[in-house]
Amino acid sequence: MDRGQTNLLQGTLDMMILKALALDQMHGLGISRRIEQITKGTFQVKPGSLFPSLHRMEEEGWLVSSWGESENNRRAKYYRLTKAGRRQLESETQRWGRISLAIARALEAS
Amino acid sequence: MLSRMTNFWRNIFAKEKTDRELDAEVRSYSDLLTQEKIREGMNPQEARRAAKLQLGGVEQVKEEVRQARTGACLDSLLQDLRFGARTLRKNPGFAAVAVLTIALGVGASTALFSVVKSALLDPWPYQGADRIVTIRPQFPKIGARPSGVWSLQEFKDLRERTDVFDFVIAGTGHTVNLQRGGYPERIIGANMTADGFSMLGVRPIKGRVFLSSEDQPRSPRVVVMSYGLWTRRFGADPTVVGRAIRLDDQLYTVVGIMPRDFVWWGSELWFPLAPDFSQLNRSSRMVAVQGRLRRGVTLQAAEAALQTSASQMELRFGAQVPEYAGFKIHLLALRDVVLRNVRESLMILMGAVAFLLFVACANVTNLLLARAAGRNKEMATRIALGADRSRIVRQLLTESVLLAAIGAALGCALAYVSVNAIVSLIPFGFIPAEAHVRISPGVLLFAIALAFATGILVGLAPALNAFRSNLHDTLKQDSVRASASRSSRYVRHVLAVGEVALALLVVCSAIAVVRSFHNLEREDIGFRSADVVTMRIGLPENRYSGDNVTRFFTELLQRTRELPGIQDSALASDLPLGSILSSGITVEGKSPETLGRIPDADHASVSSNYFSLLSVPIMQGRSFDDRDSANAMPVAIINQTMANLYWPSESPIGKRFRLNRADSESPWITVVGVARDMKQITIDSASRQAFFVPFAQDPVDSQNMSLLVRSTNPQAAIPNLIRAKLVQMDSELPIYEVESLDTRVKNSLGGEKLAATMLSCFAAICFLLTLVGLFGVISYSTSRRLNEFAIRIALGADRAAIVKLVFGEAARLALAGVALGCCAALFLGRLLSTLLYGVRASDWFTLSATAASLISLAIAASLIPALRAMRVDPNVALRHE
Repeated sequence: MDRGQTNLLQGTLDMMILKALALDQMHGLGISRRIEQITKGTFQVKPGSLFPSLHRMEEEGWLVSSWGESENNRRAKYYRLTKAGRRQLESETQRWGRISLAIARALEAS
Repeated sequence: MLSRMTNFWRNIFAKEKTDRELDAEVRSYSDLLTQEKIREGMNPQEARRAAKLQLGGVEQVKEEVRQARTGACLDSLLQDLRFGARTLRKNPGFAAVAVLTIALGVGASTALFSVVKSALLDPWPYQGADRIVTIRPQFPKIGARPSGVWSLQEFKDLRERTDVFDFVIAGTGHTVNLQRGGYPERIIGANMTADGFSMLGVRPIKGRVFLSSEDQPRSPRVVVMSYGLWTRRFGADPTVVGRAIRLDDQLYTVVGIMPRDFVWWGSELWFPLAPDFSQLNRSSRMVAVQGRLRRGVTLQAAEAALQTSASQMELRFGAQVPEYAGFKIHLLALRDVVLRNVRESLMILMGAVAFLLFVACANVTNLLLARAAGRNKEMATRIALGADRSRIVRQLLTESVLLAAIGAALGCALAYVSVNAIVSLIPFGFIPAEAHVRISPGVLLFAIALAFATGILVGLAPALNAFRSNLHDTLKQDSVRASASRSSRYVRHVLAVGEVALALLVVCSAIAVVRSFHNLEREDIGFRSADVVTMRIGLPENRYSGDNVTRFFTELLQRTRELPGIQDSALASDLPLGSILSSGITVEGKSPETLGRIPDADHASVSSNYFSLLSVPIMQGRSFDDRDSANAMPVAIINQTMANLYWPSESPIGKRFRLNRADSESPWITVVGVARDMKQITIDSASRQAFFVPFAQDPVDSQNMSLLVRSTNPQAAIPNLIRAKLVQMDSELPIYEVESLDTRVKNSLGGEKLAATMLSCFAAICFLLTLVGLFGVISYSTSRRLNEFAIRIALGADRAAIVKLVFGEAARLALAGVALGCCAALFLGRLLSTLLYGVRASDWFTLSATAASLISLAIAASLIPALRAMRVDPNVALRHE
């Protein structure tokens, strides 16, 4: 992805991460795999974009992290949503819904 | 919850730990990816490589995260700052008052504490300055007070007390005429033993100090120069070191230049003392002796230890040296050289400023608490609507910190300006010349820390309230019965009462000091200072002595009187309102036992028209005239205090006394006249006994004289006229210390003026702060009671009654404060009395006047809130609830 697209998609990436963590806490690799899964392979998040986002969102207070053991007994850092994060996910979802609806209408118009 | 705050903390203070964690996280990602690939069928080697490729490099990822974090951090910081600034801008009045209050508190306290610290507590830049002492002998046979000089043999004995001192040095004054390029200048200098420089621990910036070989009699003449003299007369020329200069007609080689601000003994030139220990006469006392105590030796212990030396000298030499009977040795620490008066003034000012600081803090606390209580509902509402509590805390903190920061910055500027102002007010000679008065960083930091602490602690109050209280209750809260606000209201009222009490104290003190100053100004000094200019002329001993001195000055007087515009001129070895020689005397026919004291007196040698020039009447007998020449009978004019002291029930005319000299028999002096008292030393000191002798009869003490000139011509021109005449008589004689007598009188009150000025400033500031504080408290309290007032009006109460309620609250606070203040004033009045002259510290008139004005102040402060209360519309107010 080139620079311009990355910026546009940063907000979207945040939303993806929030959505991925909506049900359960996960470590970094798990989050990217989940995003791949729920977008049916459209978004393949590189660690170079994933980690900055994860840490930034932690700064914002939407995520909170803790160290734990992964599936194969290795140490990994797990992230989960905070209440603020859940609120952010909801408002982002609504906003995205409004935008896509507006764009769809605009494209339909002649 | 407070994740934001902990993140911020972590970013600043735990960078390394955070970095290691990040490293571990990225590596664990790489591991997990590797594991995934192995499960997909790759072999471990390939899997690891593939994972690394996909990762794109551990360091790059870490760098991206770091940038993202910093960016986010800065963003949130800027956001908070902007929010804080906006909140403050919405309430500019509150913000301005809070900022100004903090600025005043920080500025005033920093300025004064810095001045006190650098001028009084630690002005000396010498090594071990707190251990340096002046050693003084007291010979009861000669006089009741310790004298300042020793003989060389005694100095040698003192030097051997290495158990008490690690250095003992001796010195004398050595003032010289510098002849160089045009005009002669009198330079104050000192002789000093070579180890003096070692003791002080100050190294020259050029050249060297004396060697001990140069400190012997008949060694080559060397001199060490001060930085000031070097730049002023020698243009900071580095080649001066090693060259010879002409001082008092003799050549001295300059061996070194001392650093700036080195002014030991107030001198600009230092010569080796070169003590000649072959001089065995123990009674010929010329040198002052100073020493540095060994570490761990207290002043008292040292004095006790030195007593054995004194007793030994008495034992061994008592027969030849009769003054050794009852010989005592006293030590005076360097820091005690600062005039007692100034130290006391500054200490009291420190107290005033501490009060001011408290008042400022109280005000800021009150303001912030009031504002906080008003925002309880706002906080509760925001939390109920889902705002993050930590975010609210952060915003409140930002506001307080912003206030504190702006206030502190202003305070620093104020401190800087104030320190300079104070320094310009301090009269010359009141604090040591070495003192470098500047802002003390420690004090500044303390004041700023205090400002921040106050701001932060009190700014957090609303947030803590919001956390603790039950949301539901807070929202439902009836503003009159608010449980949280009861305790904070109590605190606010206590602070307000305290403020009023302190204001009373400071204002009363200021009034007392100002009145005392006015009393001093109007005090009768005993002589007429108008139209008189004084200057000093010193005759170098190698060219003038004995009769030459008398002849020179007699001729000088004659010539100056011939000048146009000069009405009269006179001479005196010491002027009034300054230092003067003081010696023990023996009164004929009256032993110390009869008198009940060892008689002593101030004395000066003067010309015959000294008294008429200063308009000092001779009450009995006659003034000096031509009869009183060098070979005639020694005579003296005494002052009234001396007459009353030693000859209380008889006329002193014709009575005799003599000076107590240790090494020779001094002649009997006959009293021929009694003059009215003149103030000596300071205006507020009690009258001292003094006598005057004709200068013709005392050439020894008349080497350096003050010339007094009375003229109605502008005073600026007179010194040049005199200089012109002087050059005709001796081209190498400078005049120095030119001063109008009026200025001398004014300057003698310098310390009192300083105290009065500063206390007045503080009193004004305290008054202002109290006004603001009371306004804040009443205003807030009234706004809380608006509903109560509305109900009362709805129930038929008179609007005037509402106004009376508001004023009543203000008056009650003020009365409580005033009562507290009066009690405190009665206790503390004692402390102030040392500063006062003719004024009692806690007199009823001042107290009641100040109390009345403070109560009016409270009423004035509540005018605006009362008006607001009066205009409350019951409908609107009740609906708000």
